Parts: sequence; C-alpha cells; structure tokens
Amino acid sequence: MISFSINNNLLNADLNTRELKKFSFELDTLKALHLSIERTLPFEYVAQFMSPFLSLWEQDGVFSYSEYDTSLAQISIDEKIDAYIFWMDWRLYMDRINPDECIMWLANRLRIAKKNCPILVNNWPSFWQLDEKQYSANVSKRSWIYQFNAKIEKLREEFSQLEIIDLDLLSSQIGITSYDARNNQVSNFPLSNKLTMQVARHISLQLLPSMLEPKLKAIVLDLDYTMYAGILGEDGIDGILLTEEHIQFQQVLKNMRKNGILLAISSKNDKSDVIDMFEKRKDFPLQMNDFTFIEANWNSKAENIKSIAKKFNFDVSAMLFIDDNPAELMHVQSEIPTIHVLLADAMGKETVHRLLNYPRLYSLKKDDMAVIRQQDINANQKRKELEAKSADGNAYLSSLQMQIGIYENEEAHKQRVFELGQKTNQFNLAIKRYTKGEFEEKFNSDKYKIFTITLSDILNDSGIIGAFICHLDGDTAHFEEVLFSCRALGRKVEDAALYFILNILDEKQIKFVQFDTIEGPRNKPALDWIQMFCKSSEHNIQHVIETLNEKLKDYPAEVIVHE
Amino acid sequence: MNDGLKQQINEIIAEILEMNANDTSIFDRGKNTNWDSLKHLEIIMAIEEELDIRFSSSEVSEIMNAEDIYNYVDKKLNE
Repeated sequence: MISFSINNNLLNADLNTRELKKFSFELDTLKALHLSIERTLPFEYVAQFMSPFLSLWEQDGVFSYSEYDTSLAQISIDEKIDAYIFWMDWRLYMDRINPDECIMWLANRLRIAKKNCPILVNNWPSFWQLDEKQYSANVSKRSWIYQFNAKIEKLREEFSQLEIIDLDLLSSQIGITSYDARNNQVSNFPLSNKLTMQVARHISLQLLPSMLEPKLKAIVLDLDYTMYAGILGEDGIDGILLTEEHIQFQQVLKNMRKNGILLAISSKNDKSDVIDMFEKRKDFPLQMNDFTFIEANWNSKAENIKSIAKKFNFDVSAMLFIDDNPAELMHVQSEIPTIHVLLADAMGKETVHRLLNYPRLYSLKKDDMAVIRQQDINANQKRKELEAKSADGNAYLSSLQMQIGIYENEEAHKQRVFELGQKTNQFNLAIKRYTKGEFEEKFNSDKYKIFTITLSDILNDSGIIGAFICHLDGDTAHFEEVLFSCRALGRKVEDAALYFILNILDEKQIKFVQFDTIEGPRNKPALDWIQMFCKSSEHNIQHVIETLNEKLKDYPAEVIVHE
Repeated sequence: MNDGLKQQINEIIAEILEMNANDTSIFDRGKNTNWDSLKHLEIIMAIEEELDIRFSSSEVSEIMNAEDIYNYVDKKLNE
C-alpha cells in the first residue's frame, strides 16, 4: 500500500503539474491496466498525468493509441483491453453532421468495441466558442453542443458499460482559462494544463475505479481537528470551531452517507462528551444519527476500528479511516494493513478535496439501497440481542418472523444484483465481478436463470440480499456465482434459498448441479458453506436437496416463490 | 538574467526533453529532433506554471531555443 503522505499530496486541490509528473512508483503490487485510446484528439497530454493517480489504487496505466481517424474505422478489440477511452474532438463533426446523426454514428462505433468492456467517451464544453457569444444558442454551435451532450448522456441507456467524461462540467468549473488557444494552434488540443489535469484526475480517481472496482462501504472518522478545529476535551463544546472548510467536509460526508457510504466515529474522547456535543452543536451538518456506530473511548483506534468492522460485518478493506494525526494513521495501518487511510488537514482546507478525490468513493448512480442497508445494520444489533436472549437457534429465528422471497429473472432486480456482484466480498463463491454488459447478457439469455432472494423480518425489510446466477446446460444446472449480502448471514437464508431453487430446477428436469468456486482473499464463509453440501464438482440434485432438507428441519421462515 | 534562473529553465527543458541539463548547445528546436511541437508546449507550460508568467500565442510560435526563452522570461519578470 502506498504511504498516505504521498497519497495526500496527490489528492490535494492544487497540484504542480511538473511535480506530479515526477511521482513514480516502482511497486510490485501495481497491476497493468490496459487502456485503449480511440481518438481524434491528442490524449498523451492527459495520459502523462494519469500514472501517479492510477498508482493510488495500485494500477499501472498501459496506453495503446489509435491513429487520428475521424471515422474510427479501426477500433481495437484486443483481449487485453480493460477499458476504452474514446477521446473525441467533436468540433470535427459539428459542421458535417447533426447531433442525431453523430450519436447514431457513435453508437455504431461503440458496438464494435470489445463486448462488455467499460467505455468512457467525452462530451464537449458548450461555452468555449467565445466568438459566438453574440448569437443565441439556436443559431450558433452551442445549439449543436447542447443537443449532442444531452443525447450522449442518453446513450448510457443502451450501453450499460458507458460513462461520460464530462468536459462540459469540468471546464465550466475552471472557467474560460480551461481553454488554451496556443495548445489548439500547435496541436489541435484546446484544453489548458489545468483542465487537462482535472480530466486526468476525474478519469483515474473517479470514473475508472468506480467502473472497475467495488465501492468503499464505510468511512470511520476521528473527531478533534478532523470534523472540526479544536479539542473537545480541552476547548469544550462551545470552544471547538466549525470552519467553513469543516462545514463543507461534513456536508460532503452527509451526501456520501445519503448515497450508501456508512459513517462511524473512532475517537479518543469520553463518550458522554461526544453525545453532549452532538446534542448541543446543532450547527454541525453531521448529527449523531448520521453515524451508525460511535466508538468514543480511550482504547487504541485500531481496536475500535476492528470492533466497528465486526459490527458492520464487512471486511476492513472496504473502510476508509480519516484522522489528522499521522501517528494514529500509521498505527492503524500497521495494525490493520488492508484498511484505507486519509490524513485530514487540521484546519479542514484540503480534507474535502482529498476525500472527493479518493478512489472508490465516486458514485456512478444513486444508491437506492442506502437507507435499507443502514436500517439493516441497526436491526442486526437488535437481532444479536434477541439471539442472546433466546433459548436456542430456532427459537431465535422463529422470533424474527422471517419472510424469504425467491424471484426468477426479475427485471426490476437487475441493477441491485449487478451491484451485489460488485460489492460482495465474503459471500461470493466465484468472485466473478461481471461487468454491467456481461451481466445484462446473462439476464437476457434463455440459457440463464438469475434467482434473486429478498428478506424481511419483524425488525426490517432488507430488500434483495442474495442472488444465484445459474447456467442451464441440458440436465445440469451450473451455478456460475452465488452472492449474499453479509447483512443477511447467520439466519440460514442461504440454505433455505438454495433448497427452494433446487426444487424449482428439479421440476424443470435438472438432474445435476455444479458450483463454480474460487478461493479469494475473503470469501471463506461462502466456500465453507458450499462444502457442507457439495464436496466434489458435480452432484446429483436429489442428494443436495436431501442434505439441505435435513439441515432445514423446523426452519421457521415463510418462503414465497414468485414465478 | 541570473544564473540560478537560467539553470532552473534549463532543468525544465532537460526534464521534458529527457536530456542532461548541461547539454545547452542543443536546446534548440532546429538542432534537436526531440523538441517537437508537443514538447514545445510542454516546456512553455511548465515554465509558465513554475514562474507564474504567461506567453502569448505569437510568443510561443516565435520561441526557437533556450536563449529566446531566457529573453522572454527576463522581459516578463521585469514588466
């Protein structure tokens, strides 16, 4: 893992481009990331800034460039390609074809790209044509750009693996200095250095990690000089200072929470002081109920973080810890090497930029499961209390009054199953991490059955918590992947779901079942589970049903199969 | 222009052209095939950022060697 001191400099708002290019990492851990650049605009300027950023999530960018060809006649379909970047000078098309025709042509080109491979395409800034300022949009090129930018966004409906490099937004954030006439004159590259670096950062730290890696799940925060300026124990509740920068930082965290990132506190303070602080400081954008867990005590922070991870029931590698004290970060990193750490700027100035630029936190879409997930984690604490009070396992499960739903190729569940595949770390048998395109293909194929599992009990409706991706091949059902959210484990839902699914398949004349398994860094729970029913690679379906039936004796849940 | 500033400019040019900063005799677009139009802009922008100055489009096209850069930088820093 790259040390956080380098990490922080690279995430700061202002970076000297010359210094940036000097960052070089010769780490054995860097993985080659093959990027195919299909272009009508020079990309080398952007690429030169990308390597240091990519190294922050342990990737080494390997770029292959197409010729400058406005027809994009030779799109590479090399096996090695991990992602495409279509880097287009849309000015070359404005005078020749209308926006509709241009989008149709682009869609045809995208269809040639390697199937299911992530694709990035840039849109175009709408305000660069200063000489056109005297015309209204409908008689100027702005009209073409407005229409084109709206239509390229809509292309994402057809190409699920497509994301837009929003040059229009990035350039408007910088203003007119995002355009460089000299670059344009010398090399037809109109982006200024500042915009070029922003584009490199957006692609390397936000778009690519969010398309290729699972999103981080939780942020654990220190309090003093991280969430505000001052020390609660010394300055008192009224003495700690909420600077403008800290307000911004807290607001960003609040938005992240709304979109699925869980928050927790690990602080060396008395818990009663922390509770009083939240009760009295109503000017804080983040309030106590925004935090799923608060560990305020005098234990080591590493200890607290381990306890928080246990309560979240997911691995620490999906967590980011933010603290202003480098010694604390070093200690936590030495105790928990796989955790992500970020140094807070004591006065808050850089912290928000570092957070916004941190890889694997960027959201490509709204997370509709965020509220359910939050409620479920709270409910899990209550479930643990119930379990402790119950006489035996079945009495506990019975007290929950569980309802399990089983659905077959349910269109409305598609997005959630895809996300589950990207996020699940502990209960995934084969760690397949399908791209959106690959997943779409399976969902729409007659040869596949995608079973989704929903769960609710007296404490919460957990929504979709599991999926079985099953390929039907003659009389054999081949399970390519089995996924369960860690929130749902410990209630035998996976056993019950498999039992009912095998019965459905049995009715469809399936005689044998196979399960793909891959040993990953954290999926032991899933591998141990399948070992209980299937010790070899292929099984008679009846034998597995009988084993499960025995295991589920007196299982107290209502299971509804939706066909 | 003082020697320190010249050295700073030379280092920027050498870094971008991937050469030794003492090879100043070939810090010239006519003699150095490495110094193409793309590298030219990289050099100009790095100097702009480092010294907080800005060259106009015509100045960018007029600059042919390190000596031209020293002269323009000198002029701009004394404006």
